[in-house]
Amino acid sequence: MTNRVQKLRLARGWTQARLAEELDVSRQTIYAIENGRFDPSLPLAFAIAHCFELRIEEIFTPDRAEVG
Amino acid sequence: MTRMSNEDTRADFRRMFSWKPFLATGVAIACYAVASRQLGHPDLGPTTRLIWLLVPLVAFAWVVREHVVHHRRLDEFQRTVNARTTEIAWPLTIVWLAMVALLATAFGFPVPIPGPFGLPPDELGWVEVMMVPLLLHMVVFVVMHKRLSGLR
Repeated sequence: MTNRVQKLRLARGWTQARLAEELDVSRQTIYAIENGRFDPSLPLAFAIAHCFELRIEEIFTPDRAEVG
Repeated sequence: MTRMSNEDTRADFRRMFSWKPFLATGVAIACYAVASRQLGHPDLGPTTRLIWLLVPLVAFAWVVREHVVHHRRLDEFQRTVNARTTEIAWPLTIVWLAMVALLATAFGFPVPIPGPFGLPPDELGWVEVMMVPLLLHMVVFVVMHKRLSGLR
């Protein structure tokens, strides 16, 4: 899964800590998502989408293999 | 790939690793060790016996409480890392205990493991044998945790 979380965050001038606070998660989680080490749960993905006022598929893109 | 500052890494480490569950576990093991030795005295009164029976139970209840409180503070990524790490750390601990059980079956107890720091082998009792898997578990846990969580 690839995502645009880092680009969207930087476009708003937010730090990882600020986004983590908005989503009520640790900064480590934001770091892990941005670097592709962790795929968030559906509720967290929805929270991220809501935070950036976008749809989930505009932020997260599944890899070809994941789509099947 | 972005890199977190050392300050951020330390802040994350503090959030993921609470010292209280470790302290509680250490105290509980010490309570268990002292209580098990005290309960071995033949001239122990019923009240004193009950107290020594309750001491480790209270300590273990504290351990459970601290672990539950710490678990609730973690978010989903940290819980995932914990779960994956535990999958690796626990089997190693169980293998150690199984090995000790095999040795104890074959040779009796205390296990005739060469004593560290000049200690004679017959001084390695249950307490020492239980401390080794705990330390092993903790070391594996911390190392794997670092690898899986991306902490550097």
